This record gives sequence, structure tokens and C-alpha cells, in this order.
Amino acid sequence: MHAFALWVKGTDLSWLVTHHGWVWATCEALHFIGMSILFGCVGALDVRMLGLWKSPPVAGVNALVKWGVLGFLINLVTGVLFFVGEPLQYVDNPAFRFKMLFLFLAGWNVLLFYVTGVADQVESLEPEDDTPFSAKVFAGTSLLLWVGVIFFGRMLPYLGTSF
Amino acid sequence: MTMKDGYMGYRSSPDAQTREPVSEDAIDRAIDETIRRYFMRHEPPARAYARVLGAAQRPSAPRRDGSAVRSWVVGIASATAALLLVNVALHALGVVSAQVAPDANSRTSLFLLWLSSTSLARWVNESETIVGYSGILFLHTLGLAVTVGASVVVDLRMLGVASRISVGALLPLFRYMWLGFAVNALSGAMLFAADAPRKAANPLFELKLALIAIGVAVMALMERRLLQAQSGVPLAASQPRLNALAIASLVIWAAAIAAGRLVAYTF
Repeated sequence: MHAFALWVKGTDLSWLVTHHGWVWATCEALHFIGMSILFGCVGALDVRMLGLWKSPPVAGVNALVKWGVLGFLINLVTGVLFFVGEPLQYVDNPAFRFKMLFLFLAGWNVLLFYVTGVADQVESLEPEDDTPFSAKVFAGTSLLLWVGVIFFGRMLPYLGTSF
Repeated sequence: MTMKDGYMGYRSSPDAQTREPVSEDAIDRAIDETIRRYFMRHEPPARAYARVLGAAQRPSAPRRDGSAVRSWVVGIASATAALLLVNVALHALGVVSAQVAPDANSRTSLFLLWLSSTSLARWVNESETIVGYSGILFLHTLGLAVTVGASVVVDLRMLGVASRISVGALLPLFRYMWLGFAVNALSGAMLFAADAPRKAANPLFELKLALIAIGVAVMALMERRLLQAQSGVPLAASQPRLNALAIASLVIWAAAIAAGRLVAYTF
């Protein structure tokens, strides 16, 4: 792992990210913007399924998920750039490991939501319809995991030494 | 006798003539009668009917609980934004009072120094546990994700995405936005107290506050427009304005986030 980190640190891209101050700062801003888009669009579907926001049809809120994916892609690109820029401050950071674990679980949760057919089951629900219990479990898990991702992301400089 | 007793009550109660000479009902009836008589003699043009109908619909815009508080928040936010923008402009022109005359700003500096020396600020700074600085920072980030996230959903819907969501169905989201904003105002105030003199000296911090104030004002404007739409005032007429508000909201929140992130990297 350390050998890999050292190799990454030696690449031209790594130099580019850390040599110019504005690249890192711009990526930080984009990372937070992507987070807001992702959390807003995915969170909207979660609160709809939990029954906390029953006024729209589920299919309507589901149409926002592709925008959530856009937010995720922004964060994937900027996140990879952070790692490439300063790999050594992440590989041993416990907060980084937890963040990756929560990200992995959140991805797994999305996959199960679509594979198990629960997504199709709720797609036809109209305004004020209640969702089945299984959908509420997926929604609650999703919210919890994404809040966890934000928490451990924020803890990167405090549980570890990243900036 | 109450006002509701109406015409008959006014006639039959002698002492009402001194305290309540004319009841509201009596005035209404008199007006109705006058109008009826007038209309029987003159048939008004269709335009007049339209105008009366329009006037009757306009004041029916609903006033939800807490809207007075919200107007105050918006008013104060706008005033703050204006003040801060002026300040930022001065900064941009290079007129920093501390540079011109170090003593000119001493009262503000004293306040900021005092603020950062309070036991609250010291606790925020020195607490090693998760409830200290890092925990408050996490709440600040979560509040940002909730407020801006819900705003993004509303803005996207206004711009035609997810059109199966009816516009009225968006209103409950504003509760989440105001909640997130409240969390961030509180946590932000604590983070500011912990580092007051440095933050206050950073023009990017002022720019961030100004952008937030404008963002909140845009948010409140949108909520008011949607509330009006819910009570029957057609939305189509103000669609261009709503589109503009949605785009403004997206741009302003993105700029506020960028400014906020830069504050962390400029000192």
C-alpha cells in the first residue's frame, strides 16, 4: 500500500494537484458542491420513502436520482485528485478507511435496493401512499450511511492528519 | 354586544350607539346594497368584472405561521448582505481600515478579541473530544448538505427536472432548509467565536456571509411564491421569475460554498 502511495506521489498529476494552490482549493469547493447535490437528491428519495415527505409520487422523486449520480461523479473525480495529490496522508488515516467503508456500504445498499426489486415496487406509488417496510429500511440505511460518509470525511484532519 | 351581532344588534342596543356606532356587518350591507342598486342601473364592461375578481383573489395569499419571523429574517439578511457587500467592495479597493489607521478599528478589534477569549470560544478551541471544534464543524457541514441539498431539489424542479412532482409538493422541503440554516447559523456563530479576529479580517469570510444572506433571501422569496401558487394564484405568470430565482439560488449557493472553502485555505 505504501509502495503504491509513493508511486502515486511521484506522478505528474500528483505534482499538478499539490503544486498549484488553486487546484486543491477548487477541488475542495467542487467536492462540497457535489456533496450537496448528492445528499439533496438521494436524501429527497430517502425522506419520501421514510414517509417524512409524502406529497410527491415516488417516481417523481426517483427522477432526481440521476442528478445525485452527477454529484457523486463530481466527488469521485475530485476525491481521486485529493488522493493522487497527497496519498500518504490518507493511506494510514483511520477516518479515511471508515469513509471508504461507509461509501462501499452505501453503494451496496443502492445495488440491493434495485436488485431486490424494492425500487420497482415503490416506483408506482402515488402522493400520500405509504411505502412498504423494506423500502423504509433501505431509505433509513441510506441516510445513515451518507451522514456517516460526511462525518468521516469531515474527521479526516482530526482523527488523522489530512488537510 | 359583539360586532358579530350585526345590524339588528346595533339597532336594538342603545348603549352600542355610543361605543360602537356602526358595526362592520352594517357597513358591508350598506356597501352591498349600493353596489347592487348601481349595477341594476349600469351594466359594467367585462373589464370591470375581471378587475374586481382579480382584486378579490390577490389578498388571499396565505400567511403561514411564522411568516412574520421569516420576513424579519429576510429583511435582516438583506440588510446584512448590503452592508457586507459594501465592505467587500472596500476591501477589493484596498481600503482596509486596519491598514490606514490601526487604531481606527480598535473597538471592533477589542470586541473580537473579547469574543475569542470567552469560555465558549476557548471550549470550542481546546476541547479535544468530538463535541468540540471538529464535532461543530461536522454539524456545520451536515447543515450545509441539508439546506443546499433541499434547495437544489427545489431549483431543479423549478427548471423542469422531475416534473411529476407538483410544485405545491415542494413546500415541506422548506422546513428542512430552515432547519439546516438554523443549525448552521448556530454552529457557524460558535466557529466564528473560536477564531473571531482572523475570520473577521478575511474578506472572503465577509463575501461568504453576504452570499449566504442573499441565498437565504432568494430561498424565502421562492417559498413565498410557492405558497401563493398553492392558494390559487396561477404560477404560469411568474414562471420566468421563478426560473431566474432557481438559477440565482444554484449560483449563489455554489459561490457561498466556494468562498467558505477558500476561507479555510487563505489563512
